[in-house]
Amino acid sequence: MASHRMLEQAIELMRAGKKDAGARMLNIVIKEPDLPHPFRATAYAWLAESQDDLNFKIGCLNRALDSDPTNQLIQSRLNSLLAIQPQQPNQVVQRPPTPQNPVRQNSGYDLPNMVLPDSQPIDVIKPNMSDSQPIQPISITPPDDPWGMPPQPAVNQPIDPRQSTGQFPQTQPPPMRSTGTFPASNTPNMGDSQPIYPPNLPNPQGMPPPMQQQPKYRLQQTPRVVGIMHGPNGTGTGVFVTSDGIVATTRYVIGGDEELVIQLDTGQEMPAQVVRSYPEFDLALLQVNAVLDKVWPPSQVPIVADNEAFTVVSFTGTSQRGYKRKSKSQVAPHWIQTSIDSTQVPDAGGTAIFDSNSYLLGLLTRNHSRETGLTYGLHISHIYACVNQYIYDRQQNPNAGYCSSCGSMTYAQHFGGYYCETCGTVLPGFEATVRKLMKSPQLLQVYGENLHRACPNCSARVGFHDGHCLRCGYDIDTRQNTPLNRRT
Amino acid sequence: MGIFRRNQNKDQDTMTKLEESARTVEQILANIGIDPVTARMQVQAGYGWNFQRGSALIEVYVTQEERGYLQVLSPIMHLPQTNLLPLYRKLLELNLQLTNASVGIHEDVVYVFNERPLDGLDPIEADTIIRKLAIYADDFDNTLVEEYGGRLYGQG
Repeated sequence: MASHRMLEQAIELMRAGKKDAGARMLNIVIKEPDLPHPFRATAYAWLAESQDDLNFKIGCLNRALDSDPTNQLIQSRLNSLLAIQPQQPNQVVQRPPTPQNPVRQNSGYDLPNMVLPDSQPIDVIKPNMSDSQPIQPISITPPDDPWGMPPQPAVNQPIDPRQSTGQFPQTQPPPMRSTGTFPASNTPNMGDSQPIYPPNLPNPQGMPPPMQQQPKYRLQQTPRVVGIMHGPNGTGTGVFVTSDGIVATTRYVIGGDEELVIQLDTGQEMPAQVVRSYPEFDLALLQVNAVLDKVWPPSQVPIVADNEAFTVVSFTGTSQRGYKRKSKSQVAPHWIQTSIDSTQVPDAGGTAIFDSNSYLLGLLTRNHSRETGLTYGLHISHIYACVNQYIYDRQQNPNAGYCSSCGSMTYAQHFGGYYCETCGTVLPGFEATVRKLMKSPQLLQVYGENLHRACPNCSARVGFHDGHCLRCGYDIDTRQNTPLNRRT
Repeated sequence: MGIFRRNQNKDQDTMTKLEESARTVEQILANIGIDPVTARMQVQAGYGWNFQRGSALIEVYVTQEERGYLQVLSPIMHLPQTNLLPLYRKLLELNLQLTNASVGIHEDVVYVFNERPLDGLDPIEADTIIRKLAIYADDFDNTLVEEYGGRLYGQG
């Protein structure tokens, strides 16, 4: 397509510093009526870099996000700019993200990972004493990257002399520690940050005080696994994935609960709060009010080889040997097809998988093949990708809540909403509330109900699916309502 | 001629069954305080009645396609312009809880409805279906509109 080539040329011009020429070409590309949405989003993202004006950049990124609402990188870039934009009265501090799989890139257009200055990826050091170089975490970089996103200028470069400061906690990675039996881990010092409540927003009702405000318990040793107690499906297993107390286990273990108990191998129990879960990966993250020097070293190999042996270790004390089985069916690389039968899983899930060198390979889930009954594990690199995404989201939105129904972070209650903007369920703390109709502009934006063009039939701006209005079903292609098909 | 006579008998059987079902429905309506004659509707095929139960409009049909069906439905509200996701969630949750009834949407109207074949339908079950649906419709319409917006069916 000619528009593809033109977009490619425009990006080359922008990369070469020829912003005027690049912008002219991008404006031509954007006007192409048949341009696919991800292309349009990419074009707007590059156009944003053609000028230094903050409002211009924000406008371009908003249009980019309109074209590709699921693009997490554009979302996060826009939020960064909104955060430093001088606030107007009643202005939304940031554009709430479109809830999506945190790892998935915009479809067909793979963008390089962004690292913002205020967040640090999790570093883990190999236990080999002779290698003192820090190992970078596995970054899930999709294989095809026809056009990259423009590099984001560092936030501390003066885009606007009226930058606000103190909006987010300043994080410093803890100092590198000498390796002992286990490697040190660098994590954002999020655990010590105080939650910042914007002055115009009340503390959300019904939400427990953040764990960060309570004194932390220091673990003397890094446990290999921990027990997840009192879950709806029985005892499960988890592992610490950050030194400030985030534990990973499976979604099945925690079910729809928001608070559980962690048990160490010493028998000590600690309360744990579910902060995020990913039902599509059967993963859940819990925050424990504890710190530890190091986490168990994760495997650095992104894909487990066929027939590679491993050991699964449950908090119940059971350990089993298994291997990565070869399978004809294609599954996503974050799933490890194991040789362990689902009937042999010793607990509710979250059983830790260790390779032959005792690196953490992943967590065993209770998901299994329908044909063979053999279970799937979730690869540790994917777990850390989700952890990184959660940490970043938390830094951007320290007051976001957790929806136990769908596992998402939710921002609705800060704008007076009662329902999760991802799944619509009534949020914790509001079940017994007399819920009145709320229609603030910020809330409409959170629910995404003022972002779409109006339906020609009913005028609602709630969006379309498959060409049909989400409210009245009007088909914008055939320009008629769908007849009722009964008794199909 | 024999074939036609056989077909005639089949059509007569069908009509008899429909008429029987219609009589059953009218008896049920009378039992719940509805005048069946006043409630009768003109329909293209089969039989139909409508009546008010509290704030809800209830429609009952007995129809014949390949099979005979009893259909009871009540349009309860027009969808709001916003708050759709929480409302859709609530309706799906209600679907799990309702007995002998379901909620659904056609165009921008939310219905409570029940439909089942006439075969094997006895008066007790028909009575249960109509009564329960009328209760559900009357209970839900105001509650849903107050919480999620929109407007009651048939109201401005």
